Amino acid sequence: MVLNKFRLNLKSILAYGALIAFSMPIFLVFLWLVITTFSTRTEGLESLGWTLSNWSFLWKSPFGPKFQSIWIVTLNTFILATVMTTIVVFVSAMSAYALSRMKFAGRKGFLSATLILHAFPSVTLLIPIYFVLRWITKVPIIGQGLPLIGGFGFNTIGGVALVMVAFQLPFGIWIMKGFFDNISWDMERSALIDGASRFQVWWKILMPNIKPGIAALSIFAFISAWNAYIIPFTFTVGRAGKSTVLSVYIQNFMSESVMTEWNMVAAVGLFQLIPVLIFFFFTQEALLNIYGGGAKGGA
Amino acid sequence: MKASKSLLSISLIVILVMSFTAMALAQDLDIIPIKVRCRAKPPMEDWRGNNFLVAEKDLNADLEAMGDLRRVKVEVIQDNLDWGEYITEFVLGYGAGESPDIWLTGHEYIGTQAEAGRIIALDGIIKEFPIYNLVFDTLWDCTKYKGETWGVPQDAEARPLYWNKTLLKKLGWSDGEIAALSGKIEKGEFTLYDMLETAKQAVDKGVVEPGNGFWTRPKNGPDFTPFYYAFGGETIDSATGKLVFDKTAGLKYYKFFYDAAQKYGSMGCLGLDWSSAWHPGVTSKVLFWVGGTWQWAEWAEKFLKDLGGEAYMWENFGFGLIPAAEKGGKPNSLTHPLAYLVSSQCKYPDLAVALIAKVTNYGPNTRHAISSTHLGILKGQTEYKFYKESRLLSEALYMLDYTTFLPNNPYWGTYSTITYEALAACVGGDFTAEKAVDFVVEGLNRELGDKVIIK
Repeated sequence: MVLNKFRLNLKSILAYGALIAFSMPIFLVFLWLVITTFSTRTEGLESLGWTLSNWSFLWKSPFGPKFQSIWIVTLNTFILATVMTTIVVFVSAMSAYALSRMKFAGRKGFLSATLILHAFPSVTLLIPIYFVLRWITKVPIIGQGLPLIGGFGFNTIGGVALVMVAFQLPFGIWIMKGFFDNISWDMERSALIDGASRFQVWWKILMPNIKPGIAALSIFAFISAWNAYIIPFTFTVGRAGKSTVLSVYIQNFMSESVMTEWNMVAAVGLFQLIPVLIFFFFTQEALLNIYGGGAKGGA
Repeated sequence: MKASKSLLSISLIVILVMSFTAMALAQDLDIIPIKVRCRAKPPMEDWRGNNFLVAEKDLNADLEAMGDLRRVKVEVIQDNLDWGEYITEFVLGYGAGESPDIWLTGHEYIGTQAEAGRIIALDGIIKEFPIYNLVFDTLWDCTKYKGETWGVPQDAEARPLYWNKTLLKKLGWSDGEIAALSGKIEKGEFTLYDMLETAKQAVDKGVVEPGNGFWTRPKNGPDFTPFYYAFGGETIDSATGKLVFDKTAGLKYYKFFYDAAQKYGSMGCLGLDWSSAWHPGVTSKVLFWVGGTWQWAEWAEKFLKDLGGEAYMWENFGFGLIPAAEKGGKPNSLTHPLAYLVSSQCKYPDLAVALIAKVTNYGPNTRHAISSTHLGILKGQTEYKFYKESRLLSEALYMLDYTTFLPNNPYWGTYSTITYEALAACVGGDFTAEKAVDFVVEGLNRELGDKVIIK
């Protein structure tokens, strides 16, 4: 008995030891990041002088008073991430439901096509996307005249969100289809027999059952939009323009020809990371359920 | 009670009438947004765009005084985007109808943008603003393409040869010899190969490490062209406006860089990162290097601030023209003026040009010149009180008498890339000078055909 307990403890100790050993590099990197942001200089993990000046971008623009404030840039990033996440989740859920539950001509082809679309790196599609955005820009109101998101044309947050939605949808549709596939058909049939419409079934019966899927897709979409660089950079004007987002703004600190203040770059990077960490902290359980189904034991 | 009611009614009527009057007056004013896009290294070059914010009030006062109901509202977008991305942004923005009204860029891009119809010729409008007569004529030449003026010069600079006085002293040079160096260069007594000889001595005696005798910029750019000019090269045919490559000058030019790297312990600079390697290198361990006057402010503000900034630099660095290729020859430098261009999508080019006129004056231009150590662009600016007080601007100004320019030609980018690739191969030891010239001739013929003249 004592021997068994000892074996169990030894097993746990070994497991924890291995976990700690493998996690240590990641932990040390984050620790270094935090120390650096509060230091004038560092040698390894040792700070050679503590300071708050690396965080001064929070209360004054490091590039002069006329430069875009970090808070406006953060708001832009938040709007982009929210708009994109909302559209991706709704459109993915609706199309995935159709693909999972209905039979129609070209269904298989459509599924394959979405997978192929997902395989395209965004860089290869920048030019055609530009032409699409250019066309949208010239559409009255929708192009450039919407409040908050600016519109859906070139140099607007809505335009960037639209492009990113297109890239995120194939992934979203496949993820959501997996969740719908796992829900019992009996549950849906009962609702239909009771007189519910297809839309009611989707909204009232199925959607509540795939909450983990919705949460997981939301997190992925949000993080993807929050960290996006190449699309916002290409389709907005200036690293400090009206539609600038954080990933583009951070480039102001890392110009080719001017000395990079790495401690401030680390601080801005950490600032950019905070919302994602918070978001992840509250939704990690849902995230871990991404490969699971909504209702267990379905047909 | 009744009286107070009447008083309230009268007050309300008065407020309403005043509000409507104010609204009517306000509606008469036409607020015109003018978007200004500048590339600037903060904080040294911030005045490139910020001057427009000061000019806005000034221009609106002018408009009000002459009864013009238009008022401008300036929006400045200013950052330190790399040049390639900066140009792409303008082209994409223009395509979407979103180009800035005023766009600051290097003068060598004028040809391409003018050919594409993205900018407008300004000859007709600038005549109405006599302040433009103050700009040096040579700088106006930089903004001309096919006989028309497409931009207003914003600043100028010299690209001096810098040297490290401390390292020269370690090599055995006396203070007097060091102080006389810039004069000897100006007279053609100290040539490019004299510089390489000195660099080699420094390497041989262990004063500098191999490769650190002489440095240029680490990547392709305008700094190489004055060396080609020094060996008698030309880049543009004034009669046809076509690009020119001179094989004889090219051979000497490539031999110089081949020798520098292979025989004289120099040119260990190509491919270095600007901020983490090049700037720290030239400010500490390199004997001779070619840079720009604007870098003086960057070194003082960013790289050598802890050591005393400009005071430290005056004590340890010297500068002069780029030496002549042969004894008695003419030294040179290169000016690469930036210019304000007006987009063809700008609805009120007269107001855009009026705003540019406001910033093309002694006060605003000197503010920029001092903070960024760029040279002035206006006649008589050297006599302007505040300009005179900058030691670097005063001491470097004579270089404008020896300056050269890049050509305004839409195909300059291709030409520049091919000629630089050959240079990098010479420095790396992959090409001899002869092979480099063959490579350039073949490349230019293939890429540009009859758009380039090979001499």
